[in-house]
Amino acid sequence: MAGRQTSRRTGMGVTDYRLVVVGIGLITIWAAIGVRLFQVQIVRADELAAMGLDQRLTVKELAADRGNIFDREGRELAITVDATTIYANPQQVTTPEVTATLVAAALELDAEDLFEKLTSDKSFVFIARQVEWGQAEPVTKLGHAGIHWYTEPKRVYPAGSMAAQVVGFVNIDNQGIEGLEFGYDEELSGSPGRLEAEQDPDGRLITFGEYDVVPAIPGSDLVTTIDREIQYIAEEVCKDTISRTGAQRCSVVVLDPATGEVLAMVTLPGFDPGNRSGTDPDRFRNWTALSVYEPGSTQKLVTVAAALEEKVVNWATTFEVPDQIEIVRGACPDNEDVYGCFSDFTPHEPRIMSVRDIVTRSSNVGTIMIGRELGEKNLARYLEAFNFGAPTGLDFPGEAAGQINLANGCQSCPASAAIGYSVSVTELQMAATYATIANNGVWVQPHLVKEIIDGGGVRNPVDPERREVVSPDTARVVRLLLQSVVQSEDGTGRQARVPGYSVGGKTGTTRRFVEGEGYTGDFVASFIGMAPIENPQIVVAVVVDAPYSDNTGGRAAAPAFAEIVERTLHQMGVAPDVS
Amino acid sequence: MTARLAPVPQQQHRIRVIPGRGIQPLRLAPWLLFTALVIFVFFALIYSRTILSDSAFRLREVEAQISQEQATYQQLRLEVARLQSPERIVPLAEGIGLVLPNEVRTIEVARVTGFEGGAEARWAEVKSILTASP
Repeated sequence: MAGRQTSRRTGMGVTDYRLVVVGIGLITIWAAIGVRLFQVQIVRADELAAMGLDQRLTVKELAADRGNIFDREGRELAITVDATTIYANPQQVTTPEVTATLVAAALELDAEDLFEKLTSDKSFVFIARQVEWGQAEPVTKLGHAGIHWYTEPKRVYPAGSMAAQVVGFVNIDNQGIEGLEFGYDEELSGSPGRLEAEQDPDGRLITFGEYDVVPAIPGSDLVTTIDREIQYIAEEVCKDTISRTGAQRCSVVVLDPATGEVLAMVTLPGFDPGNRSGTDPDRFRNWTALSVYEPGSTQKLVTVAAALEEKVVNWATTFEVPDQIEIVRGACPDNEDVYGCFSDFTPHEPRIMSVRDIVTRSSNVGTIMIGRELGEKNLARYLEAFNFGAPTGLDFPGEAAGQINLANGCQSCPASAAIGYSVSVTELQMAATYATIANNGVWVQPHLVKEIIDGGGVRNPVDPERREVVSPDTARVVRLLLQSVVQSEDGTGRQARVPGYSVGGKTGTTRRFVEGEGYTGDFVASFIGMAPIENPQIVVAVVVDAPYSDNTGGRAAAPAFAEIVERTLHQMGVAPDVS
Repeated sequence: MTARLAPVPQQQHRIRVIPGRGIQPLRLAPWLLFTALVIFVFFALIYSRTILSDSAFRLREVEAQISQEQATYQQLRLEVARLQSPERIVPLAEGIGLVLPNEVRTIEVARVTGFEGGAEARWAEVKSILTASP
């Protein structure tokens, strides 16, 4: 037959050969496919599956909610809300001029600046970060190409500038950088979570894809000891004091002496943590705990309390007190250059004064004489016992320690320390010292955080340190001496009287010391006291820095003290104790 | 000789009659049942998958709604806190004529407040405690 040849030897035709070849070819191909399949499905199965998953899998960090900061009644001082961040991809913006005009109008931005951003050669530019949804919504509805947005947490301070130095603030990435926000950043931040999920090419999560989530642990809430109402009262009075005296700064600490809780902590001028741009960074400083000053006569309380406790004097012990005392020989004739000559504020003939008179009239010379009876070592011991020269342990970052200058060989230092010179303290240390007297001689560590509520809702109350410094009897006598400073007609603190309440306290007026400049012509006026005197509910320290007029403690700070005490006791519902 | 084909032996076909067994419907029934079951399971799986997908979508919607409600709650909390702020309330109160009282009078009820005597009385009391000279 034509076209069909047969091999004589094998008996196979050409067609049979072709079939064999095709068969072998097919077998080879199938074998290759099989090998490849084996390789893909068996040998490299895990590796390739992982590669595929890797292309689809997205890993996202789940931001932990930052904890809130409350006042003692649970009123918000700092909370976190969702805010909208608007950004652009300039490469996608088709009508930059129109977009810039409309978006700038909606977000109250400068249209020219925005136009520059939208015409840059970048592929990502922020337009506005963390704006409220009400403001961002019109932009999202414009539908302009290249304009995008996402939600991110924003820290807000509903109380505005109130207690701003205490609460502090965070940066744009919600990291605490001042105040309690900084000091408790670890507790407030919580731990971020992690989400692993499969997504489609458009970035949408695949419902039944691989899904693994490690939930974020929310940050702890802080319940502070601050009372918003008392804080407001103290700030208002401080503002009035600055207006009245022309002072550079006014600061107030209000303590609950029994618990050491800080009810109010004010430094003015302050700032608004929600709008800090252009604010002098010095205003961020919590002056009451971070800055030191010479306490002056307010510190005489320590000298007197120590002398009473050591029983070297009692309240009725008398001294013949001149108006000047020379501690370093030769100092008084030329006291401009030599430290060691101390005088009373008002010149007087030598007179017999009891300890009560010395305290009431704030006699420097008389207090130095009491200090001599007490002795340098005892004075140093009590200064340390009242926590001078060391931080109080306040739960606030950067607390200052202050300094006691009783250096060896310094002749005038014990005398000056007895009346509050050559000693530097914080206002908080002084308030805590007076609180010790108010609390029957027991020093309680001042603190700003009452309890920490963790992400699971477990409340962890703060337990402050306590220690007895003087006996209850000594504390009671000192309180009555302080009362006489206010109640006596010749007392220096008459302007601290509060109608209806027994009040005790001490004035202080010192030359203002500036690091590097020495003593300046300005004064630091202060008044620290407590009320009601028999069972003090509050201790209030007022420091007026560099008042222009009324520059003594009795005139600049005592009236502010009186107003704070009166309004605070009314606020707390403390019944008047004097008719 | 004339070649002749050898006679091919004829195979004799014997026909047997096999008695009929009739249709056995009972044997078919398990197959039908199995097929129906497979179809049922198949559709049930599809249905459950559909329900699951639907639930997942609804879950996502609910989650989105929760987020939205939480955001609204946060905003309302913020607004309440701002509205309750003394910095806002005090000027408003002053604006409608409210003032701090110049004088506060306390009505004392005997044996309730424990109010006895004044500061001088207490001072006299403490004198007796600490009169010893050092």
